[in-house]
Amino acid sequence: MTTSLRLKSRGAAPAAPVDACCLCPDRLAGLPRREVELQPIHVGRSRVPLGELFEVSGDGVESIEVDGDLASFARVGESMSRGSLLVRGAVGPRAGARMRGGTLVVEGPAGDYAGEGMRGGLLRIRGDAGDHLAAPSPGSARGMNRGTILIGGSAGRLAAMRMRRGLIAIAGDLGDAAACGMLAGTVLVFGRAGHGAGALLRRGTILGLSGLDLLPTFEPVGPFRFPFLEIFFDGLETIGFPVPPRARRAPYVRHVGDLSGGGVGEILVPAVTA
Amino acid sequence: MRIAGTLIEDTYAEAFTMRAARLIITADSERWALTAARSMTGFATSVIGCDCEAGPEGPPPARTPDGRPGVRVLVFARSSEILQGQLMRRVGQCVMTAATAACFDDLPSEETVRVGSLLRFFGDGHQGSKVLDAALADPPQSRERRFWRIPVMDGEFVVEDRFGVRKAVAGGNFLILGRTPDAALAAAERAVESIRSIPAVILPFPGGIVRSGSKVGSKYRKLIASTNTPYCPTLRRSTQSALPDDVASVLEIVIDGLSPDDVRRAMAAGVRAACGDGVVSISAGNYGGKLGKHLIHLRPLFQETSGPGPSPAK
Repeated sequence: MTTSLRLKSRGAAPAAPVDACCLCPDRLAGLPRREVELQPIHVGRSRVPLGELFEVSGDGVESIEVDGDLASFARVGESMSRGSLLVRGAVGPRAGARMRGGTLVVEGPAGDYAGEGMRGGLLRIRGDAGDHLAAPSPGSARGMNRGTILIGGSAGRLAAMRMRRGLIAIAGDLGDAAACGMLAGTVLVFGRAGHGAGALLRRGTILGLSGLDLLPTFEPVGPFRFPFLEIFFDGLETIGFPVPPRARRAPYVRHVGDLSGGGVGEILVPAVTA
Repeated sequence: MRIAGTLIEDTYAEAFTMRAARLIITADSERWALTAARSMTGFATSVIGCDCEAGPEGPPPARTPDGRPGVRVLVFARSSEILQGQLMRRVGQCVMTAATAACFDDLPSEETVRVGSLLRFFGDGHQGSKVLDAALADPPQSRERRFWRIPVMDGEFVVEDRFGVRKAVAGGNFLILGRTPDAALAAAERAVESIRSIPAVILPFPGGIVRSGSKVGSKYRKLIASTNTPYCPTLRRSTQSALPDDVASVLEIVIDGLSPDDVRRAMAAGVRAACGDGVVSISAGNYGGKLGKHLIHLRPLFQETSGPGPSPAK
């Protein structure tokens, strides 16, 4: 069973920014419809019951579905640890921030700081993601640490900063300065990656299938074939995230760095485009 | 009961519970995957003297974790601790050393043993790991999977961090009593051929056939097992024999499998294939039901099954 929320003012979300941290299976799942309607949500400086913004139906145990343009709704799915949350529309900044488990699917674009401080679970954005994807939580030395983020479109600048563990896959392009200070984990970019990818990379893997402008502090070796990539590609296709055929069983040149910081990470670029 | 003129004795095989692991070994070609698999399953015929029983499992997997040609291998041991030690040594010495090979777990289980987790130190600090979230696994699993990338001279050796372990069955068996040595061997070869296509079982002995079946105990105090004197044709007149006068040779097929049903299926297929001209009877080895947990009676196998239909062990 699913709890469904439909935004009442369709096509016109509230003018004031909305703090939507209550839109989370941990908080709503299992509650009867009446109690869901009474859950407070911050609109600007006011607290209003959810029922004022949404038509609520159903009483799902683990599954929440939200219908509407939530582009001004921040922190959707924040800190969720179980269940599933589906948003049929856009979401605002910090969607899935500090996720620990469960599945958050956004069928539209997402704002900045999606997946900030993520520690587990699956965040899937079928549209574009803004800047600072999978950023560290404010004040944290480490960024994303476990979990999987799948972007069906493109992502903005400064993604995966200080990433510690986990997987990010981007079907489109990736903005500048991706994976700055990355500690470990894997970032797969099937489109083109911007300038400065992997600056201060310590370990971890960045794959730039359509090429990228490499920093001069990366040294090439290879080409090689990497069986571990096929494991990830199979995993992505299992979950319905298509992998371009040219990525499969291809030889890659391994660029080791960032040598300016003693890093031993790798940026993999297909041998044909390298 | 007779099948193709061969008597099926009213007896049973006595099999034991062991711990098993299942691996997929991949390589750039099937030849190299088989080479690695055969190397790592060498000297693994019996836990009596080899500490584990192991062999390639047929048929080959339809899919492998890295998309390359692969071979399945089953390994059986008395305990998880022994199994871990065997896997570490065998994978380390025989799979890691094989050109282009990689090694993955193929037995999802709550109980696991460390393999890649121990072999990673061969990378001398240059190794790295990759973690695949449980949500991306096929079939879906309850835990993430970690793979170690160990730099080696031909690139990287990829090995999974931990391998699943489950209770399994070892020592399913049947005896082929032939009129002549040639007839017994031909029957045994037919049995082996039919069992090779069944999943979730292995035949740990050379060519799948045992010529020196054993009995418990010996006149020598330090030996725990000795030749199966009642079934030795040359001792027919000098010891108590279980052999009819028209039997000149006996061969045994020993089967280890992931479940009792898998072992039964393989025994049924093997016995059916073995029966025919030159085979006087089919018997089985047991210890009076006093040692093994699994008693697999021969005759009911042919009342339950109509053929060697395979089914997945998972």
